[in-house]
Amino acid sequence: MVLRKLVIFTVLIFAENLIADTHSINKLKNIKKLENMLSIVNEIGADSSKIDLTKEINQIKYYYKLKFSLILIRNKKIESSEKLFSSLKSIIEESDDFELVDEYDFDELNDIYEIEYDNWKKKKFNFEYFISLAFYTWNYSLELTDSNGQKASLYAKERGPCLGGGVRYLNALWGGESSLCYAYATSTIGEDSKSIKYNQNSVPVDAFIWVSNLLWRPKDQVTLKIGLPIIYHNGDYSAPTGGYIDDSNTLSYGYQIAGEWQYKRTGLEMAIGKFQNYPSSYWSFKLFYLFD
Amino acid sequence: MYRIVLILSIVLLSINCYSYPNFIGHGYNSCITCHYNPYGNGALNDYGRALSATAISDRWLHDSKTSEEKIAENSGFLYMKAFNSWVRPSVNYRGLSLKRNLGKDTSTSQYIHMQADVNTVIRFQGSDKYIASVSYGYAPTPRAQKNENVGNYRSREHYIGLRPSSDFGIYIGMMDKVYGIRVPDHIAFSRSVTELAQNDQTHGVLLHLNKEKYEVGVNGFVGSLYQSEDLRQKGFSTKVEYNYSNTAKPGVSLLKSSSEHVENSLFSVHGKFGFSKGSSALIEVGRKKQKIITTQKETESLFVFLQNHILLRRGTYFFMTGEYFQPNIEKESETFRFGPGLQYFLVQGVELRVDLYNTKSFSPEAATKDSWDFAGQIHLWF
Repeated sequence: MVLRKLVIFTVLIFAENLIADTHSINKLKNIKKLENMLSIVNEIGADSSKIDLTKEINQIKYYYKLKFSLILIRNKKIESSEKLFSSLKSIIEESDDFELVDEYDFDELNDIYEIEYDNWKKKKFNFEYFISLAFYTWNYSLELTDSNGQKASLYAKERGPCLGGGVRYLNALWGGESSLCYAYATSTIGEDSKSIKYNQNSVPVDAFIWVSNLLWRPKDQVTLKIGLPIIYHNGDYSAPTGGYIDDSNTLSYGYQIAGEWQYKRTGLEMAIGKFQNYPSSYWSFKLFYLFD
Repeated sequence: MYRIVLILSIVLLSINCYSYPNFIGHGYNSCITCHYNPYGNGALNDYGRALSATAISDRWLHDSKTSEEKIAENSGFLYMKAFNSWVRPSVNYRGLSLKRNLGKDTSTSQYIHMQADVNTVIRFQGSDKYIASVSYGYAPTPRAQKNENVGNYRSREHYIGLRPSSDFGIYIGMMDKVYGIRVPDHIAFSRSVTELAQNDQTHGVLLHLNKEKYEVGVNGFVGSLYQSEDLRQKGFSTKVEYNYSNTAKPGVSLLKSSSEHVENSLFSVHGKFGFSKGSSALIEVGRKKQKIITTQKETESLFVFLQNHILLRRGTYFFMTGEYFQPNIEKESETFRFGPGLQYFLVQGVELRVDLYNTKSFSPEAATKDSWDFAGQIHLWF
């Protein structure tokens, strides 16, 4: 008698679960509204310690949790984060042990997950820091006043390495960047008029160059930049006896365009630009290394 | 209809589409994929034409319904299907509008017909295994010989190619020498200083080995038989490249040659690298040693070529070129050339290119002013 009651009770419990689960799955299948999906996602597996994933019903519920989550992500109804994608990835990894019928295709959801995760990563802004070694060359102009008070323009060609670093804030599509470097250059300077003769070679020049760039990344490893450079310049030019050299362009600003090619954490940047009141253009070739 | 009229206008007004070393950005790291000549230049093979029509050139002239397969199919001579399997004709034109010394009183402007060739490739047995390639056409008088009658019509290339297997070939005839990165920038120091520019072909024999991991070319030459005998540079060159991947190919080149007047010895290291899809970086660093036989005077020069392309959209590339040249390494004089450029493949067979060059010369004796030059090119190949 007791055994009979026990069997009836067990059958009833099983039938009730079966009916409830069947109802639940059909309900899940028919959910179309994003708001309802959101409540289901929050409900299923909220306390993961109580979920027995050996049960088929729970595996199916996880399938819908993953599916609904991806739909919500695609429709921007929940805020994506590394934590969210990480929790979805763990469901995908757990699904390797699931033995569900083909209707619950986790591989298909994995493909959607990869696309959504990739899209999210592309749009996510990150800070990156870098050190750089560049070669700069620019032309410079000065004014010489000789012992007789006669004035004449001087023209200088300068070049040298520039060591520095910077920070960038960007995603896979665009961003901004700011960098500073110290240049130790040498200058060849000569007359820029027929009225005088003047020449000096290997003149030491110090410069600080600060560049702020707007970045556009048409492809993931290449970047186009437009930027505003500011230069502080100081050259150790010698004036002839009794005369002096007027260096009025100590601080200048300008504009530049640049292209960047990146391989893993290293890259090359080539830039061409113009400083205000500097004759002609300046260029730079920069090698850089990115830190996390 | 207007598209057909536009295409015909361009054909009648003017060029042949070439594949360039920067196409390593698309994963093509060997010239022989697209050219009959294993080191590029000259006629494109069927695959090269189809590739240039479908992957390289813009497709705005084709409506959205036209499939890439259809475009590739009609990439033959004058946008036709190949009419048989043994002959491949092509025409090739390159014109240059050059403005020198921009912004100066000495500024000059000229238009140069750099090349206008007809080319025919005969494919014996109807395949690329055994071929004969002949081109003939117009070439401008070199600046250095502008007062001489050097003849403006000549063959730049004629050779037979025997390729018994896909990884080995022998080529005999008049061709470009095998050396360094064969960029189309004829004024690049890596082409002009090395005397490997547009009109520096030579008669000789080329052996080409193309294995999965490496590519080797050995070129023995006797000079151009069109030159007087005392001027002919006879010698050999070789280029060895390592296929690190489809998008990374470093290499080294060596050339030794001599005439009755001059001995040349060249060595360079180069690298071709692809970034993302379609973008690339090319670098070549080389040294040239030249000895004037009569005076026994020896000069050693150094050059660097750096060119990076960014694929903006299909058919359109932005690039920056940086060059360095030190004519005599024992002296301090040196020249830098730098500039941005834009290259646009409007449709298969039509390339438009603009370059801005800023040249800075450094010398301990004087601070010379920069020069700015502009070059606009149209290149047609059908």
